[in-house]
Amino acid sequence: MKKDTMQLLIPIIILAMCVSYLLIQPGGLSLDVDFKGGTQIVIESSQAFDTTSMENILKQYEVTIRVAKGLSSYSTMIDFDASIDQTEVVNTLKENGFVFEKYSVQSVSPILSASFFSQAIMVLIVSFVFMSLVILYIFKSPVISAYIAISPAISIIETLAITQMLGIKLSMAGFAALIMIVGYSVDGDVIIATRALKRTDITMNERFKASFKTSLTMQITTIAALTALLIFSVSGVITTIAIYLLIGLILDLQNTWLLNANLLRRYIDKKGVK
Amino acid sequence: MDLKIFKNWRILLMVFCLILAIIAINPIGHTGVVIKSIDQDSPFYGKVLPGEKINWANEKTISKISDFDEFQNFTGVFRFMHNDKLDLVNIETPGLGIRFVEKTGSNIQLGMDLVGGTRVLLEPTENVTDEIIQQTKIALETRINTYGLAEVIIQPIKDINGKQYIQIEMAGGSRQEIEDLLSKQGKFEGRIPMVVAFESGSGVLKIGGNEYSVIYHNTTIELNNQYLSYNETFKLNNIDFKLENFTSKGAVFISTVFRGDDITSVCMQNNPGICTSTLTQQSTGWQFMFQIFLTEKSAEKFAAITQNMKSLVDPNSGESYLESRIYLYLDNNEITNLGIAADLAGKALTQPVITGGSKLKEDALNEKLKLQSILKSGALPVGVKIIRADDISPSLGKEFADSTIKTSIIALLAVAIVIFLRYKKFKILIPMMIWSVAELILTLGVASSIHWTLDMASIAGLIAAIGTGTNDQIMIIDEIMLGQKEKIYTLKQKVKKSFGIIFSAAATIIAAMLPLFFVGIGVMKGFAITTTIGILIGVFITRTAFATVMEYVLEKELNKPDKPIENKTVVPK
Repeated sequence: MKKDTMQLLIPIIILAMCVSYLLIQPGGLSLDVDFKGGTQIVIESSQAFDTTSMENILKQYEVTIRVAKGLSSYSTMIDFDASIDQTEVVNTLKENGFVFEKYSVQSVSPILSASFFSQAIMVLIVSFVFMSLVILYIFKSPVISAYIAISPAISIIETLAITQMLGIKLSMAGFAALIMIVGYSVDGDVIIATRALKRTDITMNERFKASFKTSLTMQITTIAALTALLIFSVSGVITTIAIYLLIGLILDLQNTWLLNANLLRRYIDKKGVK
Repeated sequence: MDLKIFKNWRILLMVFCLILAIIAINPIGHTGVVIKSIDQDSPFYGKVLPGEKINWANEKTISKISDFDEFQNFTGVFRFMHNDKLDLVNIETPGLGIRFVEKTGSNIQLGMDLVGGTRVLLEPTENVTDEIIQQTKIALETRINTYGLAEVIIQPIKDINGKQYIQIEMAGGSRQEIEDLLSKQGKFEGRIPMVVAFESGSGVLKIGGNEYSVIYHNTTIELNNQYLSYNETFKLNNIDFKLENFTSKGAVFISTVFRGDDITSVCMQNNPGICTSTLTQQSTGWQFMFQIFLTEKSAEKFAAITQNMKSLVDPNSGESYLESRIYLYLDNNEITNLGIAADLAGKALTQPVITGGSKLKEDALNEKLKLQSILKSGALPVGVKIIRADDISPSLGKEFADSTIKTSIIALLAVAIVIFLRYKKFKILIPMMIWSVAELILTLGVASSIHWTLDMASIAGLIAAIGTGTNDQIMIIDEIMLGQKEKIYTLKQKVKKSFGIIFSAAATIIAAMLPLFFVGIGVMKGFAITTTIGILIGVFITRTAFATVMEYVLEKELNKPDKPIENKTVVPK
């Protein structure tokens, strides 16, 4: 097998694994309060709470408790049914000696969250269609446009699968980040295609080499910024978006180079673009 | 240093826009404190509204909450500026009864997740029109003004399926406060004062065809053989009265003519032949008119009270009105008052028409909806239920805001390190950093001027947009440095090619973000809006200016034949 065909196999295998994980995942996608409904209290603290005793105290409300550890703080997430009075839960905790003042409560009715989810899916599809149309308009070639559009699409699916494997529940912020992956991914793909087709002053090899260097620099700066956000931010919205984009961009690196650039190169060689 | 770069129009445009943005943001800010809430027994009640700015009081500039400390025991005439208007209040007993919050300083509005507070989404219990949503909004606002709650923003929202919601955002409030607001149904009363003048210690109160003598005794007055003191209530002709005030010269009695259940219906929608509710343009502005339906009993009360009233001519309009106005109350708080047309005196109309107007259509409509809402006891035109609620405690909000600034600086430094490792030149690194900060300022400038509230998601979008800016800068630099040996393209041509890539990439991201604009709810819209603003600014102002600067900076490098720039990153062979 030729080297570039081998290279094509890597992203395809990763994609196949991710898709099968999403399909066989027991209980379907794990969704956050935004999309599943219910109430979530998030308590930010510098020290970890004793979650076992917290669970005992809140037994009557049938809560589930998760803890996420940040660089210098802990986020304790308490999920329960939307029909339960949130003030009662907060008061029960305080009465039993849990001291906290930094907290947020989010409560979404199950019907609304279901409608949010279907809207989000629709938005994702429409986003993708719009983006594809713009690319088609710019490059005027269905084949090249398809190659460009393929890597963000795959990156989104894979990011979703990996975050689900890591136990990150899909939230509204996560969804916005998935769409942003499209933006960052397309950036690199557009550079490769434009240079390959239009930068006629240098050899084809140089065009790809230079594009690789440029888009790698772009990816690394973005990854550096996202890592900083992930480590230092205390906001759930920011860290969620950062982690989705980070995973998405790392995956996108191989989708862009092993798949999109590879396919583009084959197409160009076959067509004999100068 | 050669200054010709500053004559380039792209640079000039960017500098000009930056100045505008800084003016829009107004970073030094205004001095002053903002009213958070007003107690019902406050002397300021009805004079000022939550959200108004106070920056001056009794010859003193107010810039922080503690500036009010010296007025806590103040009595007498209190002069103050609210929203730059001068006003007076007579404080009889010490205590202002107002709670304040300090102004954020700049024009950047921070969302409730950065200051703490509550946001709820209300869903109407049935399918409704835009009009009903507007009525509900006004009814809620009327309640908020009645109960002197904290500053609240009420917004109608539509989702992509056209379903309507109402969002209430209360900075510093709790979900409980909003639930109380929703469950409150006011008690409506329409009151008309009657003035009796005394001649040598006595006068006559005329109600319908009946006359009652009123006699002044120092601490009481005698009415119909009954002795009354201040604020005492009594019934006469089946009408409830209160003795409001009296002196040796006269007495004021307040009659309660209408109660909530006396108003059987308020016409909300014009329906010729059935009821009237209109808003029309007149030569002087917009006039509204709507009909209300009253019980026979209350119409008779109105006739009896007004029958013997004198009328006065309004010198402005030339129309004549009765000497007393009708005062509309909700839960014993006066909300507004109306003049009574002179020809209504003594008439028992069960379907009277209420008119009013304003220069602006919007003001007239709001006034109409407000009156309709009061007359319906502040009842909401449609049932609502909370389907989403977010609470953020104030200390958490503050931590979010602080950490976001810190984190963004660290992220910028991380980017700077990567850039420096790749290009090893300060003359590349420094413009890149300046441009990233410029994009931030410009985007914040636009956000301030369109009064966009920055929440956490909007800030994430802002960071994302600046990230694409950095990407574009890297691409521009590389595009210029490519093909140095061949020298086939001129610098200008290379810059032009980089513009092509910038536009293409921006167009695709904006296309992807576009559908998010139509998701009215939740974090997505804010994210999409700031990302799009940032990218548009980048494309049309900053990134093209950056290319110009790089053209200038790298020109000298490229012209040194012996020492071309070399890219030092390792490239796999």
